[in-house]
Amino acid sequence: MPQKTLAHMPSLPSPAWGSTGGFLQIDKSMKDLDSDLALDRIMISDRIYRYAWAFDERQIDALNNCFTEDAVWEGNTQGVTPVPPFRGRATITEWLSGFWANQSDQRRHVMVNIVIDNQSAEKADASVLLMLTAAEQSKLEIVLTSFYKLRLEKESGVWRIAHLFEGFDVDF
Amino acid sequence: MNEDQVSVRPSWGHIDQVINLNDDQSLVSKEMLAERVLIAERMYRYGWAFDERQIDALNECFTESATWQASIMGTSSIGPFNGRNEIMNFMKGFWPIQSDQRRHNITNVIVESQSEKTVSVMAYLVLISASEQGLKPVTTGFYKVEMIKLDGTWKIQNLLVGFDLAY
Repeated sequence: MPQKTLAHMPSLPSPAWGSTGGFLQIDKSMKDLDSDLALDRIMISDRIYRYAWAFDERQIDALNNCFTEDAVWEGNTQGVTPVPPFRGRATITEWLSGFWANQSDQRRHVMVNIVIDNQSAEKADASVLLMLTAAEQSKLEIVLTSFYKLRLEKESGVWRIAHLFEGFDVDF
Repeated sequence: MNEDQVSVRPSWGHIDQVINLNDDQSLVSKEMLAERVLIAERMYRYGWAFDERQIDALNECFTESATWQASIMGTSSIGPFNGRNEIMNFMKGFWPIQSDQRRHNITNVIVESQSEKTVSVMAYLVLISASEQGLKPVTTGFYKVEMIKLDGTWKIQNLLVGFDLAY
């Protein structure tokens, strides 16, 4: 994926930094779907939501099953600071679950605006917006917004994440 | 409701065994998959009906014998309210005392088990309040809902809402 550094921008995040930085590209037109592909989108969305549920409810087995064996998780903050790629399901799950000991609030990964591009019977790309909330001590905060660019693959009828890129609008 | 100073326990729903996610997606028929569009819509209609104070639409969300209950972080509970009439009386009782515009943003809808006539569904809630004082996030939480299909329409049979904060 071609990516430009946005570190020269006067203030961060630069609006539309995902697109201008080459991290995100939404197809300009929607394509016709047959009914099988349309139904697959229900399961693709289900997988995206399950990733959020599994992290927030700290269910490691459910989180693990969100990914293919050789999945990659990577990210970038504002087009400036890369989050190193984590390769392989076990490495990803270990990294993600490592946050739990340091987070004393109730996080909710609120996933919205799911769009699917490049869909076939076995693969699909999904773009998703995240609003991450945290509840603690009678206070609810929006921690950050971000976008996900996901590559999902179908394994024995089940959709899993093969590649996850998260673009953070603010530091996390 | 008074603000609750009890500390949030992260993943309290799972710790208390209110939430226990299936480890993986389950395979269902195409016909049942298509039903999920309407199952999710029932959740959204529940949010719309409450926020727009349309009692008939809210009433239609539930079966005659439905139950509604809430848990606040697993430390206190509200209800259960048994039967559609009792639920309606409870819910519409908020309207005269809530002067703000509430929006129940319902997202992350997943289905945990499903048959032709029954389904177990879960969803996230982000409750936002708009008033002269501005926009305020009130609480987040989750819904754990059992629906049944009656005369071709999905309706809520049991609803549990788990609030991460007092609302």
